[in-house]
Amino acid sequence: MIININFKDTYPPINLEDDFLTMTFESPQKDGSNQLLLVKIDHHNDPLLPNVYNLGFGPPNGQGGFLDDVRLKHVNIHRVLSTVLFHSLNFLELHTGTAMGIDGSDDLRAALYHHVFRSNRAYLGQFFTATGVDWYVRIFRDGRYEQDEYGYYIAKPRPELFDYRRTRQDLYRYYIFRLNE
Amino acid sequence: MILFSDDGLIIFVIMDSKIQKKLDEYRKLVNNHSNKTTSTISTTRQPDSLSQVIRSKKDADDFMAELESAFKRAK
Repeated sequence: MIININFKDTYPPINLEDDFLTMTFESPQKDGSNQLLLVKIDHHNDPLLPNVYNLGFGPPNGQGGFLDDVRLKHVNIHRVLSTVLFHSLNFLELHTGTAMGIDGSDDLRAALYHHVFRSNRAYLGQFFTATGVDWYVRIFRDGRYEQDEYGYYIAKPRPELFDYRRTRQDLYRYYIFRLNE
Repeated sequence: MILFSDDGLIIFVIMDSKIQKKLDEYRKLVNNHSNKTTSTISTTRQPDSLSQVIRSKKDADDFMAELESAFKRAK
């Protein structure tokens, strides 16, 4: 299924923090209920990465965060994701010079956002520039891979402009986007 | 902004004025209405995958420089 992002068609906020760090909205479900969803933007937990924030959303967990392992049957997934990304746009407009990150360590999450950016390239390109991050391990001249003192390979992140030819079989490890300049 | 499609076509896109208006409305909503809140909840952030591959300030500086370079290539 192709997900169509349209910032003119979003769910209205129920609660909105004045710094846009969190926002809640209700998404109608196929069983007739309404599911409250929390969109949460956190400063990246690594203090060495200034101006990078994390984006996530899901049902509130009651402790300020959200559950991202719950399977929901939204009536309109296009509108849900448009709402989440529109909130990101609001945040980035308000906090100039910041970038939004999406952790791709969960395959389902990575595939979802990869698909959304790929299939809405022209539309989202009006607002955002997207990058993807791969991990690389250095190979020494003698063929050995760089390892730490415990023998684990040392992976290093390498960002690049989002390559729209990459399919969902070739996901990035991490996604970062920011406003167009 | 100018985009290049996979087949080499040049696509010109600009932000829709209705979207800009909607952004402005959200900002007014936050400034003027009662449904705004201020965060009072503590957040416990779990280390994400990017944190696990950035081990030092040099790693972080290199990464941010490469990220900036990637964004600049989009211009």
